[in-house]
Amino acid sequence: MKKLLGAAVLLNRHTGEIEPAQIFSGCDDANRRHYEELWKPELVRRNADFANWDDSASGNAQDSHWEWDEIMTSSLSYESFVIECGGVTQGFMNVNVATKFAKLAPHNGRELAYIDRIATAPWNRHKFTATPKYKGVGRALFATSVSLSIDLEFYGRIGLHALEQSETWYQELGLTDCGFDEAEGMRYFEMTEEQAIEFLKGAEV
Amino acid sequence: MDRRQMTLILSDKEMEVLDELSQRRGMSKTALLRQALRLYQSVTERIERGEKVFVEHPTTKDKAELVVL
Repeated sequence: MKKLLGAAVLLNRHTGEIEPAQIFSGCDDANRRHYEELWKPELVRRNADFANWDDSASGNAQDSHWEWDEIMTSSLSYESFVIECGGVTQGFMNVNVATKFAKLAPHNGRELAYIDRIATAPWNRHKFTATPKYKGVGRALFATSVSLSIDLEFYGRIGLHALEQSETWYQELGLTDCGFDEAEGMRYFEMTEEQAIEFLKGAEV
Repeated sequence: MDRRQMTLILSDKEMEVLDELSQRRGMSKTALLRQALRLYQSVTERIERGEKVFVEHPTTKDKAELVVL
């Protein structure tokens, strides 16, 4: 069931204006339709510019095969979120809250919120388009995952595997690069309780 | 998140385990029980799909299959 969680703001780079956005838990048919009719055609078109999945990182299109309708399940193990602005879905996020555990000391083995998938709309992405529209989608969704982690008494702990084009961004958010994970074929990043506190302090400014 | 209330009756032994685990995991009893429910649902769904769930010894790498009845 889709439910309004709260408000956020995004910078419209085209106009230079700040615009109100809404963050929801869950999604509805409108979000699914936006993905199928607005996101997917652009992702598929952009992905066709590259010979393989590795190369598509340079066009910020490595998620072109993600099927959000299948990803966003009703299982208790996952919490799903969308962010809307201007009446359109600007971002999706799916978080595993059941089966992933922290690797970094001193809380290794403790529960964490694992960001299974997170994506901003194609028209907001650098390298995807020369004139990306909204800035702040990923950060707003990431902040939502930290809030979720705190709400579940995971103390802000976050884990994720990063697509190549997003690795620098996660470092900038304050996560620790735990190195390349052979099993997943991607680098693993983790946010500790202390890093979550620092991230939230930054979000208050 | 919408929340609903229920009364849970536990034996002394079950309550001791709940107390101990909530201390060890650094979570309230409510948060711990909610997490246990998520895990139980996840394991049940995987086994129902025909997947196998194992626990592995850290040094010997011996595996034991987790079976849910």
